[in-house]
Amino acid sequence: MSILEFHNVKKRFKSNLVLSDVSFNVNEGEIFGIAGISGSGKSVLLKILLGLLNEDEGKILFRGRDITWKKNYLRRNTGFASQGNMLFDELTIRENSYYFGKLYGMKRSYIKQRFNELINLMELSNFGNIKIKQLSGGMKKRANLMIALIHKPQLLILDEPTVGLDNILREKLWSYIKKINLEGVTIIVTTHLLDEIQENCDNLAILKHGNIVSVGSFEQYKHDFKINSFGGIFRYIIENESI
Amino acid sequence: MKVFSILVKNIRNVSRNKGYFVVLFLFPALLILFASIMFSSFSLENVGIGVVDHGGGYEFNVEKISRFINYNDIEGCLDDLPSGIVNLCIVIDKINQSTHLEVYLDNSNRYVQSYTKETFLEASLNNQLQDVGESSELISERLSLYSLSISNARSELVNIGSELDEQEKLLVDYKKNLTRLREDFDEAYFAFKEVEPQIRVIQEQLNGSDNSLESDISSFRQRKNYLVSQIEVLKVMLAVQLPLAQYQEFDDLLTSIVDDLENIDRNLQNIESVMAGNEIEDVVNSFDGIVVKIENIRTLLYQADEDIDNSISKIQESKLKIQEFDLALEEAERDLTGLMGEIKDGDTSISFKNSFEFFDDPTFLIFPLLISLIITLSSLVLSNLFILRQVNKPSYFREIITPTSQISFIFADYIINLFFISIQIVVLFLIGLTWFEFPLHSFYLFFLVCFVVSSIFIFIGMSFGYLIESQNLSMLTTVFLTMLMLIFSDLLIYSDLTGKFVKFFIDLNPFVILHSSLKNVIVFNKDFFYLVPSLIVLFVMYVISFLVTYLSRAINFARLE
Repeated sequence: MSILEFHNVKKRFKSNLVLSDVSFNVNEGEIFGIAGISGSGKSVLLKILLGLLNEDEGKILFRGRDITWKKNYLRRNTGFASQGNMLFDELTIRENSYYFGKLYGMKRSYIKQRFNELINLMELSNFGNIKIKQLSGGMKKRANLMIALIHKPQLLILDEPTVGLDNILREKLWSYIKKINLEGVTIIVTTHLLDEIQENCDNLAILKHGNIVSVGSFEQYKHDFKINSFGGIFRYIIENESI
Repeated sequence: MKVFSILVKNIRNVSRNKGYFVVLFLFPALLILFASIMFSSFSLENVGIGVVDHGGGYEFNVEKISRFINYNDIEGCLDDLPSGIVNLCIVIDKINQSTHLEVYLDNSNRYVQSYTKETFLEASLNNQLQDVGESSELISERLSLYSLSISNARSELVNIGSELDEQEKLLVDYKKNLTRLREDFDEAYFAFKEVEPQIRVIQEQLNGSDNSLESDISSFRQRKNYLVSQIEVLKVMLAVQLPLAQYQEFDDLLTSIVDDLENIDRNLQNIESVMAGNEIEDVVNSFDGIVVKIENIRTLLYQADEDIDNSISKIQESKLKIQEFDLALEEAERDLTGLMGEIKDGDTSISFKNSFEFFDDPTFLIFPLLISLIITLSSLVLSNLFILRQVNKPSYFREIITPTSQISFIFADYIINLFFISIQIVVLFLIGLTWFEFPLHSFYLFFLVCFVVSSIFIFIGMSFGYLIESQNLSMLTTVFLTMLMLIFSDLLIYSDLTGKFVKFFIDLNPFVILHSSLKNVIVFNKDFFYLVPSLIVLFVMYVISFLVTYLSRAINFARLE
């Protein structure tokens, strides 16, 4: 069952068509990877997903509901974490959690419950009362993920989540992402680290010139393009003007 | 509640950042400290006066100013004006016994010019008033003397008039007596005149008998002298011709004849002397003189009579003149008395008085301005800094992707800024309460005005924070706006001296409204109703600035898209 459906979504900035007829589905419970080079429209797509931008044409369905003019519904059910620290440095993890939980309209008791669940999930129990600025880079990423999940979103959007981390920390972070996914959260990941999404994503989409040119599992890609790595497939699609 | 959560987050965020404490507390505290030091050192004693004395020798009656520097020429003094060694130069000249002062003010510095002008005018006026006072006293004294003299002169005139009355009376009496004497004399005179012809006859007769006797005696004396001379000749002849004895006889005889002749002559002389000693003859002989004298006496009597008449009329004329003079003196005395009264009544005394009764401390008067400055700067800079620190962080992005309305953020950010500014407001009021004995009941008005104006500035600062992405540019713009507000106020020039167009904008300056409102509350103890017009303007600004902030945030949001 699709949690998110894009139907012929178009977005223009003046005369520049940034997204041209984007259509794809994200299934509930999967990890969906989006790959694209710079200027492909990835950021615009994310902003539409986060409710910061409205599509000019087309339709977006969230759990079957058209959310074109219901961005708050989308926001309430979407979590977002980017490569940078999106938390308040002066506040502790707990304080950030409570703050953002409130912004999502959660009750204090529920925030407390969610905080306890997530802090254990992210293995940050000993750092709940530590200011963000005092945490290490990896911890900050986890704290970021934790806050993005505080309101128990059905969809988690991750923008380059492992950028700046070493391989060990990357793997560790992906293990947390998978844990989250196992909790029932659908995850959309954008990254330029193609081997990561090859390994961790159930389905992969390639965005080229504002359009989703290809969607499918890595196995399907491998089958269609006869290339063993997603990186190779991606390079082939990007460089091949006919696709 | 989301707003409360944002507020709590803001408080935590701000309270854990030392930079905010520096801006919120350290800077205002230092500002108050430095301003207090500066204002408490403010004194007119510091005004320096350069004096170029060209012989005027003007004495300044200035207690406040202790700094006088003498110069040989005006150029030397003017050279020292820009450096502030002196604040004004005075050239003292003596022209036609009067002192002429040329005052050179430092018109490159309006405040100094104003202060020095005021100080000098006060000093000069004091001097002139002192001179006028002294002159007035002198004139009053002189006038008193003149008045007394006139009064004395009038008394003397009255005495003279009395004396003249007495003299007139005496003269009238004397004239009566004289007239009577003259009339008596005239009677005698006319009687004398009647006998004069007879006396003339007698005189002629006497003259005639006297003449015949005198001629007879004279002829006798001639004959005697002739005989004596003949006898002497005879004697000589006889002496020659006769013997001595005979001669002797003849001589004796002739000598006895001569002796007899001499004796006769002597007797005749006696007769002459007897004749000469005759009184009747004397009278007769002196008759002409008597007549002349009588005529003279009569003439003199008439003359005296006439003179007395003249004297009496002159006395009467003098009396009239004295009366007229007395009247003139009386009028002059009246005028002088009036003039003395006017001088005493119109004794100009000017004293400089304060129009308002309040704490006599320059810092107190400047305190509303100081508060206005602190609140303006703090509100603008703090809110701008606050928003800048937010919008330039990824956490801002996380905030705006939450299902939270923009107004909640604006409202919460505004309240947290206002909270910190409110602390300042309370602290400033407490300082005023402690140092300047602010009336406690004025707190609500004080807080209300500060609250509204600081809100406006907070909204403006926030707007700049949202609109201008660059921190430096945003802060510079805020500083520029602050400077603009300070420029369009009374700080640099008195706004009352500006044109209507500029004054219109100055009057709409929230900083100016804050300053004037605080002054009205703190210094003049005005009530709420007095501030209503200002509060209405401020409230309109409050609404507009809120809308501008909302619009700015929307623009910022759109920029994120």
